[in-house]
Amino acid sequence: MKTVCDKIKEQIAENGALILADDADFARHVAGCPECKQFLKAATELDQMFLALGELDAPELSVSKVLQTVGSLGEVQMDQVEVSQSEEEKVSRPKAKIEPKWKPTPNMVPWYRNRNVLNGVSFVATATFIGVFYLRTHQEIYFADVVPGETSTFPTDDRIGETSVEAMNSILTRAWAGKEASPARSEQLKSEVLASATTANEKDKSGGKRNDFRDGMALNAPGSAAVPSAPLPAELTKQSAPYEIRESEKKTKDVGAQGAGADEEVISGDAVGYAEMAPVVSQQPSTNSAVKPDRGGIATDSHLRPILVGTPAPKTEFASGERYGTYEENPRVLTVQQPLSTFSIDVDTGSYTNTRRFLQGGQLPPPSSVRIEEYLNYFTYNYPSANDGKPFTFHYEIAPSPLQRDRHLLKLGIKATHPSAVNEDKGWNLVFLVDVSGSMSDANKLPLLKESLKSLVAKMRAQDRVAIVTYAGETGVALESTSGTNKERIISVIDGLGAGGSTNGAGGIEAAYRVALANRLNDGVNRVILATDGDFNVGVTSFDALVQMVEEKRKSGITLTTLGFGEGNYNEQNLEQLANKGNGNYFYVDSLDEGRKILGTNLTGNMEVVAKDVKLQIEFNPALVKAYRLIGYDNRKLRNQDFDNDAIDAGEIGAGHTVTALYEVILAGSPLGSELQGDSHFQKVQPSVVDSGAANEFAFLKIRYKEPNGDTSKLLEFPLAKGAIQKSAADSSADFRFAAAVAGFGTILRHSQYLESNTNLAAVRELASTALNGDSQGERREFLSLVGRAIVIQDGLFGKD
Amino acid sequence: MDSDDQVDNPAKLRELGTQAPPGVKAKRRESLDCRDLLVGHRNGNSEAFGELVSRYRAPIYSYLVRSGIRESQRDDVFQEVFVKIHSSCARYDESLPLTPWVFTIVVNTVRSFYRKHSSEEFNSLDDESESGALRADIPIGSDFAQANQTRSWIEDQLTRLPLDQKEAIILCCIQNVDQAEAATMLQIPLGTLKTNLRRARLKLTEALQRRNLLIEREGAQ
Repeated sequence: MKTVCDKIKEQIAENGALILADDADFARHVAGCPECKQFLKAATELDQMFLALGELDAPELSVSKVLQTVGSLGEVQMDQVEVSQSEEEKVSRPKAKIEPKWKPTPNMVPWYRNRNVLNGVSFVATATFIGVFYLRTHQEIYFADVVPGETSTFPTDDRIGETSVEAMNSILTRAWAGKEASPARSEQLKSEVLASATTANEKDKSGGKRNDFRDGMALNAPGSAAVPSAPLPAELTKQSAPYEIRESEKKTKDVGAQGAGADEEVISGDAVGYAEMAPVVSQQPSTNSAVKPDRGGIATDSHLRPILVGTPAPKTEFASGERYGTYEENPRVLTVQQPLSTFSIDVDTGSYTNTRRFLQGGQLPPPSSVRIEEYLNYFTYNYPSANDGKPFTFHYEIAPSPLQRDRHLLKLGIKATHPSAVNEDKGWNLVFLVDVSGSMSDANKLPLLKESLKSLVAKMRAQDRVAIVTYAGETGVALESTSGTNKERIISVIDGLGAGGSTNGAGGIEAAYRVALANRLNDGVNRVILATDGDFNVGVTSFDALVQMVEEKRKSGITLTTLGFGEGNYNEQNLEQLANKGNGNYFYVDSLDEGRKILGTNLTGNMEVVAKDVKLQIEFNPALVKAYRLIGYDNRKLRNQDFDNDAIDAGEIGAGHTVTALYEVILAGSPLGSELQGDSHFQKVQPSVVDSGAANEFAFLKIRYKEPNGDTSKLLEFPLAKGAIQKSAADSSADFRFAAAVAGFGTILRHSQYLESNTNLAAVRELASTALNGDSQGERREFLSLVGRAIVIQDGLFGKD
Repeated sequence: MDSDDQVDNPAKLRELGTQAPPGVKAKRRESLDCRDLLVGHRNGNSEAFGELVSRYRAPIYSYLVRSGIRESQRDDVFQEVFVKIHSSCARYDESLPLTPWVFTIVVNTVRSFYRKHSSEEFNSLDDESESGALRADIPIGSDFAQANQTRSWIEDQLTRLPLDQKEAIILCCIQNVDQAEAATMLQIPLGTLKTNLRRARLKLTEALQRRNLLIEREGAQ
């Protein structure tokens, strides 16, 4: 009887560096078992060694020697050419590719460098895609191969799968060894193979319980029988497959036996061997057709090795405790009815990183978690910076929508002053409010935060101060506000943070604000940064009271940023709203890279507000624009009359931040969407007066903002010229096309009611792949691979063919 | 992204992956597919074969090295492969990709080489738990020396694998050939290939694990 460790080892050996998905039991075992841990580490190192080995170049000497020899052999005799292959054989041959197909992508982190893995966070380590691992959250582990018909190769049920394959292999190995190649022996071998194949096949039928995909590695075997199995893709349950494979092994053995005797005539053996192989390979035509079709990032980036993907289990299972606010989508609006559209900017990116977490775990995100504006704003666009004293610059671009017919997209971009232009001497007074309740102990929560915090400490200057307040059962100040000159002290406190107890958010946040207020810097950044994994338990106080408090403190100059961690009981809505009211940002931290980006690389931008309460109001010219729709920003729309009301709060923009918004626009002359057709009598109402000066403008944009410490807003105005409307999507900039792809992706994942039938993930990927220019940080390529992953997940992992 | 993460940048890697083999101008590489070279050679184009050799020399040579063929014999086997390519090129079906065809020849040449030299025993990981452990016990020097040692360690371990496992590891793990394609080259069923791969990895990983432990112990002393 194999132990759990042995089985884990075998899986690791089969699949290269292992990727753990969402199976907590699995992770727990590996985390708690030094043996498995070491083995996993060694396996990962091995993979890296292999990568390092690569190809060796032959010495020049050998090459010239070869050429000399071959030259002396004279020309090829063309009459040797045999044209014996039938059409059928030609067609059935696999189409091979020479290019190395597997390269690591930024998402692939060796497991031991990413502590997430021990917690079973959905993520992908060094890996690729021939055998797809299939882990099911908290319940069972499934293994499945993307190659239908290759079921016999799994270390499945010990008695059936292994022994028969083992037996055949030994037979075949003997045959190849050339020691038993007599015709009689060959016949005997053939029947042996057949017999073993038949037995195994019969066992399949009679046993009826064989399931190649429910692997022997049942880590939580006791009790797992009660767990309902997830439906398997149809291809996987194909029963005929194992037999076909055995047939093919038999044929191959013939080839082996034939070639084995012909020691001196290896050349002809080569040719025969290759030709004979054709039918064998043709038995698995889907090997090539099912696995290889360019299914995006996964398939192209990671062809060869297995990847572990979480099961597309019912969404509710994964996301059971997670809460997302649901918002009505912004509707398509007839310009004649309402030419004004007003919204607040938003620079949050949490929704995108959260989606990444889902996709990397093998699931599509819940539609309500998708915020298209946060997707759009995750990416860097090439907007020139301001140099005219204004806090930001404005750009726009309009062209036909690459993904929709008869629609145009209007892209608005705002870029804030770059950090270098910000006053360097401004100090930071940061108070981290850290949730240390028991649930934060997972490796992707508190430990991740601790590591990310260290990258912040590294950037601290003498004038900066940081304090740490913890909250759980009781609240405590772990680190009094400490200057950046005392980094050792800060680090040692960070290292000492540990989780335990339950959550009482209200007490904690009060303490944090007290500390922040006591150390307030008059002309610096004063901010409380709340880090939690979920329900911000407010104790006796209601959430509304908490929001009020945050708004109150904002007036004393202390802002609030929220960092979300982990999964399960993650409450995005609360965190986003709090950050919103606190004039800060909301981030979701799914990886150490992201944590470092937020608290390290992009820290200045995230902390230094260059303008607050930034509102946009756009007025479309009804003579040119029939209808419009704001894509995303569903919970950021403002009433038109609130635009000029300085009492109404809106979004902030930090140093170097960019904000991007897309409008779907229906120009005059294009057909309207069906939902607007009923209003056709309005369309007869032609705008009677078009101001002559405005005739060349299709829209007019107004931006209101306040200086970071100001109370009265300033107004900027930009006419949007008719002449800027581009004729074709192909002429648009890479940024434009990329934004269109991102919006398309969000529209699909959101299950938007405005999703059009020809907008699908494949089209999104194609579009995005034409727009990779200026991808200095690898974000766009990562996006491409995420779309690829979404395609695979949507197709039930194994395609619809 | 930090600059030291550059290696993980897929764009960069892709770029590296599509770089022309040494000595080949990228322009020519685009205009002339490898199989055209063989066909050209067949039709008497005197330059084509030289070009073909320079295209395939790196992967073939490294295959020979990793399969454990000694330096003294490597050149001969290398030459033998190309002589076979030359003399059997008339039988190459140009509607098919060339690489699997070439590698089928390489694989068979190496196999028959080992059949001929079967008297020269080569160690496998199976039959030397003692000496394997000793092998793992390499003194630790500077980081640089250690990296070199790691490299020679893995190269050494590879040569100790049984031939079928060695073949699988070289093609699938080092040369990154698609498993199905590798099975074609090796003329074995995919299932067998996977079994071989699994066994080889298991052995290597366990050996590495032992080695890590030894190094750790030594470091502690």
